[in-house]
Amino acid sequence: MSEAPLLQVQHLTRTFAGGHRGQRLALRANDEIDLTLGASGPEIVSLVGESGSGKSTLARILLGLDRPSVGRVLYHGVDVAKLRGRAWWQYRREVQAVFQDPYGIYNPFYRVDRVLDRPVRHFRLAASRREADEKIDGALRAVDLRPQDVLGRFPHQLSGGERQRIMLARLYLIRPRLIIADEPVSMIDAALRTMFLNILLDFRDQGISCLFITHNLQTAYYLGGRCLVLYRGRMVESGSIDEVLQEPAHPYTRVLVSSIPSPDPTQRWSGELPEAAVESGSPPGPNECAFAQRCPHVMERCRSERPSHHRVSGDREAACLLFEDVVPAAKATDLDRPKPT
Amino acid sequence: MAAPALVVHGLKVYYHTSRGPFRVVDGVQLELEQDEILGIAGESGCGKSTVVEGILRLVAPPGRIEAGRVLLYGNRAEAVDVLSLAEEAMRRIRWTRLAYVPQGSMNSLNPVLRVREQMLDAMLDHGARSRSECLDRIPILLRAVGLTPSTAEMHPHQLSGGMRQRVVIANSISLNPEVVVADEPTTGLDVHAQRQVLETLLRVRREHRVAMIFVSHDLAVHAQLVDRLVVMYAGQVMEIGPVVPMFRDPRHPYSLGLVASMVRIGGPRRRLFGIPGLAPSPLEWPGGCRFHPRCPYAFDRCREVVPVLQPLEPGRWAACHLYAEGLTDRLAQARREMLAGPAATGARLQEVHAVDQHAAGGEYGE
Ligand SMILES: Nc1ncnc2c1ncn2[C@@H]1O[C@H](COP(=O)(O)OP(=O)(O)OP(=O)(O)O)[C@@H](O)[C@H]1O
Ligand SMILES: Nc1ncnc2c1ncn2[C@@H]1O[C@H](COP(=O)(O)OP(=O)(O)OP(=O)(O)O)[C@@H](O)[C@H]1O
Ligand code: SF4
Ligand SMILES: [Mg+2]
Ligand SMILES: [Mg+2]
Repeated sequence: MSEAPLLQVQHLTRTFAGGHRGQRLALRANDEIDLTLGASGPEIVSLVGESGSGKSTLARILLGLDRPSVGRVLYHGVDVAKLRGRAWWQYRREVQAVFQDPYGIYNPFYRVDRVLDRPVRHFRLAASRREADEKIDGALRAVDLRPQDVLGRFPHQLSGGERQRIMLARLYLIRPRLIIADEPVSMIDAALRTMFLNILLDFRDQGISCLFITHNLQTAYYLGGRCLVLYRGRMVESGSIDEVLQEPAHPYTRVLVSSIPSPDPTQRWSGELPEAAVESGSPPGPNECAFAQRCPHVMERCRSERPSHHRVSGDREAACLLFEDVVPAAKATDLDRPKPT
Repeated sequence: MAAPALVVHGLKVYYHTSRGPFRVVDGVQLELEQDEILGIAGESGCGKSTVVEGILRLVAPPGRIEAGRVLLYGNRAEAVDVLSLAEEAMRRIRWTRLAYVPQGSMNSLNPVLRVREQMLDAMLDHGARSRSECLDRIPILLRAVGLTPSTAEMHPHQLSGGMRQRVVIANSISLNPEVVVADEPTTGLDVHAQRQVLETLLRVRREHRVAMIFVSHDLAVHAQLVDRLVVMYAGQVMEIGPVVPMFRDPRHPYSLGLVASMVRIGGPRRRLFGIPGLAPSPLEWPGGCRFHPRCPYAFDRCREVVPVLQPLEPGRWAACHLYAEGLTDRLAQARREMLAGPAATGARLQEVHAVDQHAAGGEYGE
């Protein structure tokens, strides 16, 4: 088609009336988010951030299950809200979801075969029953499942990992352009997780992009690519996952990274959790930094203006006043001393 | 040496279905020492939750405890065999001596009750007599898990996942148990909440002197918390040992596979193996070593003879014929390969895809 990126999110805001946990203010679950995906070929982008930061809200909007309050989502340069008929149907086919516990999306009364049959019919992927069966068999084998083992079974007769892989087999059949994976690996063990992630890498090599939402930063690191850090609905940092995890710039990202459990029993956390990792009550005001209430580097101005995105280095950006006049090559470690204002 | 806190011998738990018995836990043995945190790891479905349900005697039908002994010493010199207690006696020790945090319990708090009422009910239900003493205890318990006493006034939906999980932990220690069994208490939490829960467990152990069994499928969490680790596969224990040498030098090929599947941030970015092959069915476990169909180092004996847990060096046990046969150089080679090799799955997948893409040519979008 055109040269427009696969997906662009422009100034997207999603507010919910009433807020959460008893607060009165409207809650900005997504707050002026901008992002571009697949601008130069297929890619994997990880979306990370604490619970409640708005990851699933964004995922639901991208999947067409919810609408932004403000802002737009462009698919190949076309506003998704304006897609109709065949174009909408195609969008729904090309942008597919994988959820945390796929158990919810299986109907317990139907055999798992239906999960694979339905897209074949709905998206007319095969011309005959035989062709459909062949494709389903191939898709199951592609995710290391034996068709004779899983077909004909009910969802509760499969393990969590098997159900998860059937979801991937389903994607393999549909061949979307973009996978939105919301916490797909949090319930499964390392070995199954590795196989799941390898399938996403193979998918990418075949032209399928992925927005990978996770709490598990090790898996994001394994996938490589870019990383976006969300905090209270706002994008606070973006850049290559290697840089973001190894030299986090935004003070929130630093706190986030310090809470990652090291898989090495000789490197345990020392001391208690930093104060900043403990959640605070009220949502940030529109004219302050989202992290001001918890930030160990907070300055006067952080409470009176919303920081814009500043370049940290290369293509890395952080929404933090500490980086206001950082020369592009500055090291995040120089910033441990708060600057005088 | 002091008596252990809890000993499990030959525990078997089967689910009886029309297709036959699912031998989900099939001869598990382990020992929990005083003041220790013992981790249980293993893939989804290997029977971790069923083991702890067996220890607590909370297996639901069609599941049944078929065999075994669960000896609870706690901090006493004499043991009681949990599995042979009368129901009434069992009810008395549950919570007061042996407490349990079930998998997913943070999502099963009653939504209409305040934290205070839930904590009070839980204590009274488990045999506490004085209502006012219980109420006095609530702020102390909340502080013990790092929550402010005002949390007692909140409803569950006003708490984050990590806070709810800490309320559940506060509940579990409310009657001063000697042993706490926690099943996946950090699963599904974000990294901050996970760290808070882990620090809470460490603090509870330190300040309340309990021994803990901690179940998780996430090895990184075990690395941060536990003293010793049990690796389960297919309803049995494959390896036991202190956590540091278990991670540095896993002895059982399955433990090796798990450790080799961990991602280290900052480490080289290469494809990991995973553990190829399918988890076996509890309806028909493979004969001989249950891991043999997936084990890259299996030899004839593995297909025929069941390996038993045997001591390798002080404190370390593994159930694998490589040791019985003295084939340790084979294991050394295994370790080198699994901790450094490229993955096979990727390449194979690529082939499948290439063929299929060809077959699907031109159909995209229709
Ligand atoms: N339909 C809704 N109505 C009201 N508030 C909502 C709704 N959906 C989400 N929220 C709120 O929006 C915020 C962001 O929620 P979201 O589910 O997107 O977070 P998340 O980053 O996916 O969290 P988690 O990691 O726990 O899945 C939360 O405070 C949530 O309570
Ligand atoms: N009612 C039942 N009938 C037959 N099999 C059952 C029943 N309940 C559980 N199982 C089987 O028991 C096995 C072990 O389950 P268990 O919950 O102990 O595993 P787990 O190691 O805790 O897994 P996870 O990491 O997913 O929590 C699974 O294969 C499961 O399918
Ligand atoms: S006993 Fe044999 S099959 Fe089992 S783990 Fe050891 S080498 Fe592998
Ligand atoms: Mg979510
Ligand atoms: Mg379990």
